[in-house]
Amino acid sequence: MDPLIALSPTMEPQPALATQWSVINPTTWELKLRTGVKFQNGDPFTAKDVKFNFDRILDPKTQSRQLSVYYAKVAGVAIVDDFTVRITTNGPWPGILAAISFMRVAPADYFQKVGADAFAQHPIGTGPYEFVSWVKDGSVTLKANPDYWRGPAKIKNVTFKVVTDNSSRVAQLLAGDADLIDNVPPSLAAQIKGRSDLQLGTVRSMNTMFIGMNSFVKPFDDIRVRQALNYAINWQQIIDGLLNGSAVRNASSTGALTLGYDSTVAPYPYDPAKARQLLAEAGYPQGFSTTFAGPVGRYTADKLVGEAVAGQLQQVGIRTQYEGSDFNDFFTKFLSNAALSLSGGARGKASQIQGLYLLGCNNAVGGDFDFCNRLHLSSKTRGIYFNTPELDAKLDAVSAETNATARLGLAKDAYRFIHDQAPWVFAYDDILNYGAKAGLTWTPRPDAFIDVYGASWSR
Amino acid sequence: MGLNEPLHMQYLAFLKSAITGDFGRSFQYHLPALGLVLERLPATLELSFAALSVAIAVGIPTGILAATRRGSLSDAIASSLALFGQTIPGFWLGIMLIWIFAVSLHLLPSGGIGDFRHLILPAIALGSYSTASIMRLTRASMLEALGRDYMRTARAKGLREKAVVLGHALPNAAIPIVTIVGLQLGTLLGGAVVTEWVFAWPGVGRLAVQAVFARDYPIVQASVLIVAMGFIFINTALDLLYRRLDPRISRRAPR
Repeated sequence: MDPLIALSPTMEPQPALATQWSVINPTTWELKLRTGVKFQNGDPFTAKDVKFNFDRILDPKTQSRQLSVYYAKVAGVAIVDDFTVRITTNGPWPGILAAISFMRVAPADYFQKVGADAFAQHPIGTGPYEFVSWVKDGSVTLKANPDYWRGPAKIKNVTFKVVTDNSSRVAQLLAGDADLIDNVPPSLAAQIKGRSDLQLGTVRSMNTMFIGMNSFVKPFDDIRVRQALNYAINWQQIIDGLLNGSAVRNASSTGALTLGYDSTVAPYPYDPAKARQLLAEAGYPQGFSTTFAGPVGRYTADKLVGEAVAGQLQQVGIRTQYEGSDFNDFFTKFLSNAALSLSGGARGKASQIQGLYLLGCNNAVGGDFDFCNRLHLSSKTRGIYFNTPELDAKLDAVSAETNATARLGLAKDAYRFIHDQAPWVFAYDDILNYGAKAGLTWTPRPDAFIDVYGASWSR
Repeated sequence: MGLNEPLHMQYLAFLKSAITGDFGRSFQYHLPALGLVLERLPATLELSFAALSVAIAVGIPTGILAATRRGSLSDAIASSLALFGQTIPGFWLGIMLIWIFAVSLHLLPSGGIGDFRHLILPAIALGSYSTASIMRLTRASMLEALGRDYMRTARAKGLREKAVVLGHALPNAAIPIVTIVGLQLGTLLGGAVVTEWVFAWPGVGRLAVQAVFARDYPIVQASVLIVAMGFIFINTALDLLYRRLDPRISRRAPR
């Protein structure tokens, strides 16, 4: 299936089923749709299909899980003519383009005829591949759509196989049973690099790891303490030693492809002397004890990283131990009591996480930059452990600004502010490792989607 | 969901719906939990039966051999292999099999479901423990039968050794062997988890583990119940089989 707007490998919006977009007024976007496109069952693609898809997601009866994440600000969609639609939003929302890139357009007539369950068993779209079969938990098989509007795909048959165990997945590539595998753990990457008939593809992911702090609890309410923690960790050592180099130091709270990411903002250097000095200034010359919670098995080497950080913090006098737990347990503790207010830190103070925590965030919706910040006062899972009216004002300014250049400037400013306030210890971005046969040409994407249409065999 | 009701009321409600096959909807997939489990049951059954076949085909003959050649080198080898089979972790064995036969020798597929070639390695990995158990019990049971008086009678009749062993000793040794085969099948049904995980086999075990991690209670409940039912069914079938094997075991109580 195709989206209306596609994201390039650098997360830039590109025309797909929508060829042009423009802002009519701050709360209305107009999209011109591509003509001459057919669904795989022969039905023509028109505006009514777009409206049907949006209406379905917005309908509370559908209970769409995507609604609150990507479409919360969409008010409605109106058909102007067969190939033009207007989307109205609640308030100005420049991030809309990246957000609706997640929608894959389903054919209205066919969907309504067969119903949601039957459609899920055999989906149809306008996309480069047609559904062939699905073995639940096993594999999905597709074949190239010969009438695809961009021209038929070079690779004719694709099968996606689910292999959850890391070693098994790598074994399948080494045995020649798989042509491309994703999520190669850094420790196994060397085996792929060592073979001349295989290649290792890498790309910086959009997952940013960080160590959060409960800034509503002493001593983390003091900016000097927060900055001290930033100086206290030697991230390069952790990246080289525990992650086999499969990560990139990130000074920011969000990924490199997000609006406003400024690579000129230098990360806090490793300076334990400065850390101790700041702690002393803040009134903790002997350091202090604190708790450190986090997940196990959720992120690459998360437990090892947590333990390494705890060890490094001991060196500057901060006594702590990494208490890892199952991600669901940890995240429930992290969310604290949702009924409490975010302002003034009521929710943060009541949380079971009273010290540090390890977490990552994958800002796959690259354009909407606030997604991962976890800092804005009005969001539900963010702003629990740090929020200030000053930062909210900056974030709001970015969300409301529709002029692209001005928006970029405001976003950079917001990120610099976050960097200086150090609401958490900035860490690193994961690098995604893919293994493939040497003859395959493809571009790894940071959002972990696999673009088979753009891939080809050179043999 | 009725979570505010007292526990016994919740249990009764669960029983009422479970009778009709309603285990609620999976939290992850939003589809009926029982349906999801049943969809994957054939794959697990296929794997379990294949593993059991390996276990029977290897375990029983080896056990008989070890019993008849008690104390010899063959006995020592067989017993050592049984020891390995019971102590080697299934996860390690699975990965090693993949490594040797799929990656290095390119003889068999490295995972997934498909034709019978995909079944070979997982069946061996899953069946290793059962093979060892069956072998050891067969050996012990055969030794006991071979030491009985009727063996002397059988040999005195002039029958060949093979007929003596297979025709007289084995049937009398059968009851414990049949018991353990049945128990192993039940264990295999529930314990295919690790093997399914390593070989990417789309069965109930893998579904149940993923459901546990995701706190998807409907699926966990449905899978546990289905596997338990399977176990009970097998044991009942076993009980009925005993009567055929040993006429002395009768349903009627002794007068």
